[in-house]
Amino acid sequence: MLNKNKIILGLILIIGIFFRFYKLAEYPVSLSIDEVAIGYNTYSLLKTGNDEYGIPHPLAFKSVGDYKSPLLIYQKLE
Amino acid sequence: MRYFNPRLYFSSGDGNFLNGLTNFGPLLLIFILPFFRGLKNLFINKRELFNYLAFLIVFAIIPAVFTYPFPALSKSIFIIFPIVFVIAYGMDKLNRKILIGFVLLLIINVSVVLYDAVNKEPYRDLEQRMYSYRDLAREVTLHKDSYNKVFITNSYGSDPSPSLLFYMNINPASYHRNETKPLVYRNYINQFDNIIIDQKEKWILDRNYLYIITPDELESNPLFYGIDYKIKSRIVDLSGKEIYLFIEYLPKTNVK
Repeated sequence: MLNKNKIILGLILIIGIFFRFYKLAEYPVSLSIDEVAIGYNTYSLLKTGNDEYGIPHPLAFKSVGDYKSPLLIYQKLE
Repeated sequence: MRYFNPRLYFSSGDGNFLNGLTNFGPLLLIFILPFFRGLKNLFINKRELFNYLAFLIVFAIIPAVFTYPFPALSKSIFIIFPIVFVIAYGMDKLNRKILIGFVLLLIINVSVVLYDAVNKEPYRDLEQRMYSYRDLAREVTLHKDSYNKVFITNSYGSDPSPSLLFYMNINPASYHRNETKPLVYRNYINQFDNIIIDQKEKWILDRNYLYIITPDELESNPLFYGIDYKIKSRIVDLSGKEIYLFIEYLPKTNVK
């Protein structure tokens, strides 16, 4: 039973890896609007220590008004 | 307790422009079956797992509490873990016949998504638009300093400004100074530096202005009826179709 479960888990991982990396250079064709907004907030933090609206190191980023979570933005500062 | 609103499970993402479907939310709808099965089993048989589940729920709440006033659903992302936990537990307890039926339905569900991805929608509409915005930003960077104002239509897509800010490396400090109006959910940035987005009531003809419009607008916007102009640049989308024209007004040849 354990081996069977391991095989199923392995198959799921292989399928997942295939779809994650298949034509990775071609798809997606561009950054999404969220990704560019996150990138600009990171850029703003790096340049000024403030977010896009001049708020210093916020907990949630107003960004384009949809209030993004901070983890991705702060993580990109590394 | 509003945080535990069941609507989270059924929330959907951006609409799919090509086929009218919305995204499938945080989890596929079909997982609702093992979810309820797992929930029932947790209450009846495995109360000791409640501690583990309670830990996951508390863990999920912490970021949501810190960002509670904000409307984005991404603050609730960690609630996915306890939901997946319950689904997995429920799946383990499904009897064989139901499990086979469930897997068949799951394959159909995933097939529909794959069919859309591979055949109906090789490029997501949003991705194609963002690709075009990157090209737009490159061309605007080349031309913007040669003109007093650059007017950009929003007829191709409603909000090119985040891409322009990002790809053009607009100085955040100067942008902070310009942005003074109060924020509402999903605001649209309509001006920075000498770039004005939409606001067509402000558009007037001047040879020191650059107009970035769609080919349709060149025909339909009364501002451009019968004028002499020069096309400074063109932006095409992934299929090669023209989507933006960079128009410079030529008043001298218009004088009689």
